[in-house]
Amino acid sequence: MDDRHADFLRRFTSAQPALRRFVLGHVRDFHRAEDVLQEVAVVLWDRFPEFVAGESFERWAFGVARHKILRSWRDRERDRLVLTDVMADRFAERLCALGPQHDERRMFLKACLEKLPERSRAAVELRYARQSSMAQVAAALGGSINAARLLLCRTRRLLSRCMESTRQGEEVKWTPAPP
Amino acid sequence: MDARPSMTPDELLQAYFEGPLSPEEEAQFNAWLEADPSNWDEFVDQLDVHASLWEECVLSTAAERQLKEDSGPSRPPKRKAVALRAGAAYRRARPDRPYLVPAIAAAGALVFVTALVLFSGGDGRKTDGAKAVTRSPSTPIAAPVDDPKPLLSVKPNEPVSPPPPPHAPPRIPEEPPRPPAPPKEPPKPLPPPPEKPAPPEPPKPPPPKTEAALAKLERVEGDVFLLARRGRVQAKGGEEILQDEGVETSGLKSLAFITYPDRTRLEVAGESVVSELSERQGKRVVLAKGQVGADVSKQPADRPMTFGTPHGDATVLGTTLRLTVDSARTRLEVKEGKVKLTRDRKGIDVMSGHYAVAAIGVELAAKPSRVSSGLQALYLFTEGQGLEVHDTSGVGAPLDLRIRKASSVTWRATGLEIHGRTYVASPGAAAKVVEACRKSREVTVELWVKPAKSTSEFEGCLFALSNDDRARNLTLLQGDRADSLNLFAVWLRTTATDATGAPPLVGARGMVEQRLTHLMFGRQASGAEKLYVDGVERASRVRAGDLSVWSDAFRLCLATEGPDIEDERPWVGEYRLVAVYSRALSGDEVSRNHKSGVP
Repeated sequence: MDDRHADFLRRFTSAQPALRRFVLGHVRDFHRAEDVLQEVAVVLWDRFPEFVAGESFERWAFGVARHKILRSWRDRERDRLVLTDVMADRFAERLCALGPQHDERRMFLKACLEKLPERSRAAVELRYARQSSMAQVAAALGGSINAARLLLCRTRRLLSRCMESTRQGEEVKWTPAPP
Repeated sequence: MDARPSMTPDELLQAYFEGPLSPEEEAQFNAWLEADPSNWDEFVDQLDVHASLWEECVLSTAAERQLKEDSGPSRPPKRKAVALRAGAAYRRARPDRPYLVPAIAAAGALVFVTALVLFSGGDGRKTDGAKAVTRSPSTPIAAPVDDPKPLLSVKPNEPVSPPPPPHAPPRIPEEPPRPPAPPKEPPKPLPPPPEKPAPPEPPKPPPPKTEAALAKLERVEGDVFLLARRGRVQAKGGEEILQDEGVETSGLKSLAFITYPDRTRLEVAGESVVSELSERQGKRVVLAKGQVGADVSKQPADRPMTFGTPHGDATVLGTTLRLTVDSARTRLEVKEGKVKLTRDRKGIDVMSGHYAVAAIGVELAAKPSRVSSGLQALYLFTEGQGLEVHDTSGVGAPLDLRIRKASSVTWRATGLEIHGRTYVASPGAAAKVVEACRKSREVTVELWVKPAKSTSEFEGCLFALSNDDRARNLTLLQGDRADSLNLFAVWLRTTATDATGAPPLVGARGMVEQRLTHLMFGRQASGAEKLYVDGVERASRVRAGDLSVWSDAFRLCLATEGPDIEDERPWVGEYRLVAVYSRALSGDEVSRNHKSGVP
């Protein structure tokens, strides 16, 4: 592997988490997002000789990704982007600004998952590990689809707070959000 | 338009992740994002956890499976331990980049990129080697459920085997319930863990199903998937469906027929998801989206069959029905028998020949079903996005329409608004409609439209089976070139007219208003022609000739009469429904469709 290969891999690996979030934020379907991400990787490597050292690799990658997402939408014709161009730019800026501190949180995800209340953990397992539909999640949990949606949303919030608290090494007692 | 109450931010966020949103929800979501910078933080934060869970639960499983496959048969045992050790080693080697660990451990994409770089030979071009790694869009990155990662199966009291984080996270208490509160009953036990796959050498056949099948996939057309306990797998005709399994049809032309032992039969239309079939207190079918037709055999009185949708439940003892589910509503149509439709503890009986809609903000009410006999094409304009309008008649090959100029239209929750010059037409000839009408020598065209202009100077083409204004089978205009007034006019070609169909049948002046309007025009084989506006006959005549001269080369078009959108009388307003029948509907049937309203 020559220097250019190593340089590309290093940059791509560093940008990949934010890139995946950027694509997933637009495309939303897990599997389709991974398809788009792979296509983006091909284009990035293809055009890597054009990349100007010193510029932001992430911003360059986001531009390519957005183009790929638009192509993906046009091919399907039945979907469209929700975020406007201006909002997509803002979205990209936010992701670029997250930085390594935010990335560090991810290593605490597994431990935080184990601390979840049983019902929340079951919802996560069904939706993400088993990729059940929301209707299936709702049926397994014995509630409505709307209740399952709210539960998942709150569970992600719980996880986020747990990861952040743990990252900061705070010995704080976690306080639930006000209703 | 249905009045949907505003969603809470949590509901909006989850709806966004589940997608697609209705145009109103999209607007609400964007407005929420822009209302406060902290909303962006919340969105990005939720997305981050959403993606992290995806990486943790699915991609890492796929990466581990890849490691197992790559290491070959000579080293089969303890692959998982190897993968975990490799991850730990990487973390020790790069303490300054801890965030890389989950990415490395999980990264299907990184494996792909590494292969891409290594196989490309350094010339910066993708190679066959790289392509070989790319999976097809229809193939998931990982078979997600046949070997779920045990991470989430760890009991709260079990010791945690993975490397502990530097700071043990505190136990997360239950978040206090917010309205609407989640159900309080304990969760039902999860489905049993799927069976482990057989070792690669020697291959063993999968263990036979010992559980009695609930139903059977009698026949499939196109891409149909069984949502089985072992994952989403391509389905074949004759396959058995077990308790809690589902069926998904991918593509508008796909179709699946499901039969139960009691001869109850389901027809799952294209682009549908039946997320679950079960039988406990009676048969239950959960339709998450799409359309299901059902011919239900007589069920025991204490064990009715229920159809669950995101918007309500339909309970039947024996009937023929059709359920349609989109993101905003569930529509139940009963052809025979009686069905109880419930939503939020309120229920109504929907009788034969009636339909009802369950949706947020819509009061449950049964209305007479639309006439379906003789239907050839039906456009409901519920797509909400895209450049296609789908023919939902279910008769013959769908005669879908294409929108030529996207900037001239806007999808509304209620229909398709035309606000500029465009051409909405079938890509090819409307042969199925023309042939059916020539054969029956009759035709009816029905529209629910909302004109945007009602001035006497305006004229526009609402519907046409035509090439242009010099050669047509049938054209329905607002206004008329010869006598441009606010009226509706119909030009219909017969063996006794010229190619333009002159003279037109014109309704009374002053009938065009900027409101939702029901238009129907019909011609009987006897030559009697009638024009109805809002269920009332407004013009009639009898003309000689028949439809045998109709050209089967013309397209079905809306908004203009021909492809020259600069010249062919562009119409502006909103389409809610367009239907074409190959027979003349009676006055009673016209009244029934009018009372039925926009579906």
